[in-house]
Amino acid sequence: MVLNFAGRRVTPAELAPKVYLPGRHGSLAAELVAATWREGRLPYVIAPRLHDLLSEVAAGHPVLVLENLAFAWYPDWHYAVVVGFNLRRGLVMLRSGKEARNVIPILLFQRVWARSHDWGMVVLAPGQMPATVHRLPYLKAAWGLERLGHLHAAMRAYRAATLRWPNSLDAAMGFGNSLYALGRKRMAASVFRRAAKAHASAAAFNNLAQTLSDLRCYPAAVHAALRAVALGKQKHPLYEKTLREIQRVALKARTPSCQLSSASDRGHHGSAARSPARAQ
Amino acid sequence: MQKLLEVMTRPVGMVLIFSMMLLGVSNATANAAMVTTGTLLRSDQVRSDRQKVLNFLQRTQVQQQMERLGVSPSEARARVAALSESQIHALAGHIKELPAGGDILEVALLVFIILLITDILGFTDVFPFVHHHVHLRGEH
Repeated sequence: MVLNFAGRRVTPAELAPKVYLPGRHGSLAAELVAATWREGRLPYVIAPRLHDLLSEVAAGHPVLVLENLAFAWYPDWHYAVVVGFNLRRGLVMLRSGKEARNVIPILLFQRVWARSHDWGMVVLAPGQMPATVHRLPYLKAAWGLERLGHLHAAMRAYRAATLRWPNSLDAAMGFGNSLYALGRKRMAASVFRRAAKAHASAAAFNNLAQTLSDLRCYPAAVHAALRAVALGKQKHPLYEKTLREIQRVALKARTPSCQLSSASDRGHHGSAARSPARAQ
Repeated sequence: MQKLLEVMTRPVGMVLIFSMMLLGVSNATANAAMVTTGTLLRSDQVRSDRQKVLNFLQRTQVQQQMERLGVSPSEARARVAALSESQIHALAGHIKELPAGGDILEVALLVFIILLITDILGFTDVFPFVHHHVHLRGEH
């Protein structure tokens, strides 16, 4: 249901074998997150507060919740989807396994929900933002997509993050890394370069260096790698390895023809002004 | 991860084949040595967990509790800075479960846990029932 909302047609019967675990609710929750990643959708676990749950529902994001209908010592786990509420009458509307529309008092819902430590998540199409979003959990959700190879979905989620948090190094690095993995290296280089300069970040200079090296822009790549080593202060052996590798490759390359010529650079900045991801 | 690596190295492989055909130069590309987003997020999480524990130590109730046990707040902060990533993560997890106001009993319990962990590691010496290996070795 929640996946359907995020633009993916999956019936509960299809999803059940992927998430069914007879054990504890902790593993069930983790499985629901993993199943969402596998479908290429963004799972965002909300803060365990009724206020956050209602904010998401009000924003039009149905919230998948875990409920224990029996006792803490003999649990009977169910998941349901909160689709609506009426605060004046003190009611919430749920969809569960069989009932398409189940209206119960908020106080009853809170008791049943509390036994799962108020666990709930929204499922979003990559690029959409939860109403109650926080930076670190959001970026971790995007990283889950990247880790499972949903590179395009991850890139869209990171791009939304760079708009939401223009000063976040992690958001920019996620965006740059997913562009790099997709083979869009010129754009990745420009994202890394901006992040590296704005944050004086060794990691960003390192990734910029590697990207420039792939584009055969060796002098610029060596320059960036040197900055990474200087900023990293021997903390990260990877930076020195990158520098050595680029120097080795640059020596062997007989006809280095940088694919980041000034012409293509200018063209890139031209398109950048139109691209929403680079509006900042 | 495997798939990500595959996707990341595939374009490198293509460039390699292409350069061999055109220029007869082999091994012309560096192995990708990128810092992954996951690595960055992990260190960010550790920073945020550590801050959460330090914020907890700043609370008045907590400082009173510490003083009762004879630990100065600055000493406690220094000890938290020395805890490992997994210990910090476990402590931050406990703090999340506490209500914002902080039940006095739960605060006392958490202070106890923090001091117990630092005690076991030999940073503090609050509880007499924790025996330090360093101490024992010193006696022999």
